[in-house]
This record gives sequence, structure tokens and C-alpha cells, in this order.
Amino acid sequence: MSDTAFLIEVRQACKLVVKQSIAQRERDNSLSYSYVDLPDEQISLLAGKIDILPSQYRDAILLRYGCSESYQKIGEFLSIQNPKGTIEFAKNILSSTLTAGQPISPASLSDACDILLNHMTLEESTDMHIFSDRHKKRMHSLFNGTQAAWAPSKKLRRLLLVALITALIIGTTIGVVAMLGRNFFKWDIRKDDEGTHVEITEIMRELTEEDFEEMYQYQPGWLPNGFTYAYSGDEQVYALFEYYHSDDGQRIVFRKQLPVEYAGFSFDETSGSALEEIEINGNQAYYFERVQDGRPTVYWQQDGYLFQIVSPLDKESTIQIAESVAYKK
Amino acid sequence: MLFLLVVRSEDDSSFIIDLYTEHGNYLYATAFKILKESNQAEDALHNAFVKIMENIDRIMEIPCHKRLPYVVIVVKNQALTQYQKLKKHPVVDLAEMQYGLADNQNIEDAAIQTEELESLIAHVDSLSDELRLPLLLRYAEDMPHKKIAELLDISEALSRKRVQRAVEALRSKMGRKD
Repeated sequence: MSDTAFLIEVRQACKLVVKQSIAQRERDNSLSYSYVDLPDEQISLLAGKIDILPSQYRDAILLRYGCSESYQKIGEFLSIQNPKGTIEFAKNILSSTLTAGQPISPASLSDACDILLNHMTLEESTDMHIFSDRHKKRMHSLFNGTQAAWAPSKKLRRLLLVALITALIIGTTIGVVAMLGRNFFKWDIRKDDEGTHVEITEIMRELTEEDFEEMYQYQPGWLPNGFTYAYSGDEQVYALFEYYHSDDGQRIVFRKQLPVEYAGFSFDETSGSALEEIEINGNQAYYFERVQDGRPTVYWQQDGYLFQIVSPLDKESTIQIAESVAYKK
Repeated sequence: MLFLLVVRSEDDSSFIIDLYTEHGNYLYATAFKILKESNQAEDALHNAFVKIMENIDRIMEIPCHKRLPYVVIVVKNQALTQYQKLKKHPVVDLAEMQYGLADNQNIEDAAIQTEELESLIAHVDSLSDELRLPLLLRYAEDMPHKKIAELLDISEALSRKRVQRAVEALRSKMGRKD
């Protein structure tokens, strides 16, 4: 094995030794009763040695003994898993060189850290950095929020965050469902020599029995004078018919239908008549007049249903009835 | 981010704002020295201040003259953490890698290597303090010999010599030839 390969192994072993040593010290709760208080002349020497320590050890010691910081916060600020073990390991290095391995007293460590912190001179940068606009905005909003009179705990912030995300998910779902509810199927109506063909081309959500039940609740809000509800009939698996009669025996037919796949159909009564694309309350709709009797007919989709009105009235009145159709509780 | 805004009084906020106004440039430079990239250094500075504000009650308890060094430590370590995350290849403990099984490694080889590493660890542990400490500082902490010498009150040459002797001792114990 080459010298380099062996040195790599030694490095791996050393790192593991330190890691294990720190982890072991983290778990060790035994207390020492034989601290060594360093004489004043050695305190500055100790400070000098703390300053030389690798950054992580030095900072951990300074926060612990210079600022009385908790192990938890030290771990958080320095991103270290075993803050106590790290500090103990660093103290061990210091004591091995200054007190022949005898633990150095917390008071001596504290005095040494005070010296370091008091004399920590900030080398002002020669180059003045011009902060980016993005940074300025972020810091500005951070500082502007500093006047807040309340301080949510970390736990509360997490809860609020979870609530916010949940609300967003629910809101998005409701929005999508609402959109699908409004346009939950696509249809195609075309006219040729054989007649007019209505085809459901795409259904965007699963239909339920409730959808069928709900269909009963859609009724015209306006009918011409003399017309009243007569009866429902001809109930099919996916469609309902309602009839409105006038005193003189005229009849308006209101057909309601679920947009099921097999509901495509054709009728030949439009042969020869114009098929006009219109809008009913913002929904896609078609108007035509039947060939055999010239009766105005409107087809439209609304709230995911396919509706049809056939009336003995004129075009405007028929469209007006269609526009008045609404869900009634 | 609004949830992070936790400072309670005007005194607290003026302390933070003063700190940033007076020393923001230096704190930025501290982060930049580690990250070598302006946007990253600004991010580190911002994130450090978020942490500081989260712990403002605690920081206000620290004597005034120690607060700035405290903040410097927080900024520096925030930058270091960010630096580790930024590395293309995440920090992998070589020793842990050794214990793990590489894709192209068979189980038998891995077992032998693991056993050898464990044996090496035991030998490092059994070295005298005089040899072990310089070895750990040099190889585990990457400290230069000059610093090791200062820390242990020995000459730089002696630091080198002790590390060299430690490696030779390990080589001998592991039955490896020079």
C-alpha cells in the first residue's frame, strides 16, 4: 500500500476518533470536582490558546463561557450536533497543554473568553460593499417587522405555516372543482344533411347519483303568463323531462340531462333549419327551430348539465325561459 | 417571513438596526470571506439576522460589549453552514464512506477494510497523548503545524516530528511497510 493511501486511512481514522470522542463526551454527565483555577498571568495565555483552536471549538467555547449560551443555542448557531461534546473535547485540548490534563475551571475559561471578546477588534473592510436592491428590500422588510408587538413561538410559526399550506391546497382544490363544476364536460354539436348531432366528447369528473338528484332542483324562474308546472315524466337513467302547460293546452318541454358518455344523440328536426350558436348566462348554447312545427329549441350547458327547452313561443321568450333556469333549494 | 419577525420593543429593533447600519459591511465581509460570492454572502447575512431576531431576548441579555462578537460568530457560522450546503458534492465523512459499501466493492473486501479501519482507530486511541494530540489536530482538524505548535507550546519542527512519529507508529502497528 502506498504512503498516500495509508495517510488517507490515517486521516479517516483520526476523524472518526474525534467524532467518537465528541459523541462520548456529549453523553457523559459526570461532574468533575477537581477543577484547576488558573492564576491571572495564565488567563491571557489561555485566551490566546482558545483563539488558536479550530474555528468550531473556539466559537463554541466563546459562546458557552463568554456569553453563557445554552448548549442548544450553540448547536443551533454553529450547526453542530454535539455542542456539549465539542466543548468538552476542546477543553480537553486546552487542559492537556496548560494543566497536564486537569480540567480548567469554568471561571478561568470565562475570564479568558472575556479577554477575547473584549479585545475582539473588527477589521473594517477596506472595500465598501454596495448591497443589492434585493438584499436591501429583504432587510428592510425584516426590520420593518420588528415593531410587531407579539412574538409567535417556533411551534406556533410551524403550525401557522402548516395551516397556510393546508389552506392553499384546499383553496386550490375548491377552485379546480368549481371550475370543473362549471365546465365539467365538453360537447360537440354539428349539423349535416341527416340532422343535428350532439356528442359528449369529454367528461372531466365522475358523475354520482347526487348529480342526478340535483338535476330536479333546476327549474325555470320565469314562464310566460298562463304557463304552470304540469308534471315530470319520461325519466331516463340520465335524463328528466318536465312539462309546463298553459290554460289553452300549449306545452313547454324542459329536458335535463347528465353528460354521460352514451348520451350522444342526433335529431333530424333541425334539417334545413339554421343552427345558431348563442349564449345562455355566459354558457355555450345553440338555438334552432324544428322543421316539422317550427318550434324554437334551445340547447345549453349549465353547471355541468345539458339542458333543452322546446317551446311553442317565439325565439326571445324561449331564450328568456332558458336564461331564467336556476338551481332552487 | 412575517412569522419570523419577532422583535418586541423599539429598543430591541433599534439595537438590531444600529448593528446592521454600523457593522453590516463588516459582517458582510465576514460572510464573503467564506462564501466568495456576493449574493450568497448577502443571503448569509440576512439569514443570520433572522436567527438573531428570533433570539433577540437572549441576545439582549448578553452584556453590550459582547453582543457584536456574538453576532459575528453567528454570521460566520451561518456562512460556513451555507458554504457546506453549496458544495457540489455534499460533505461526506470519509470514515463513514469507508464503513459504507461502494457500488463496485464486494462484501468481503468491505469487511476487511472495515476491520482494518477499526484496528487503526484503536491504534490511534492507544497512542500517547504526546503523539495523539498533534496527530488529531493535524489530520482530523487540518490545523497547520505552526498553529499546533502554538497551541501545544512546542516548536513547529517538533510538531512535525511528533506527527511523523505517530504515523510511523501506526504503520508499524498495522504491519505496513514504508
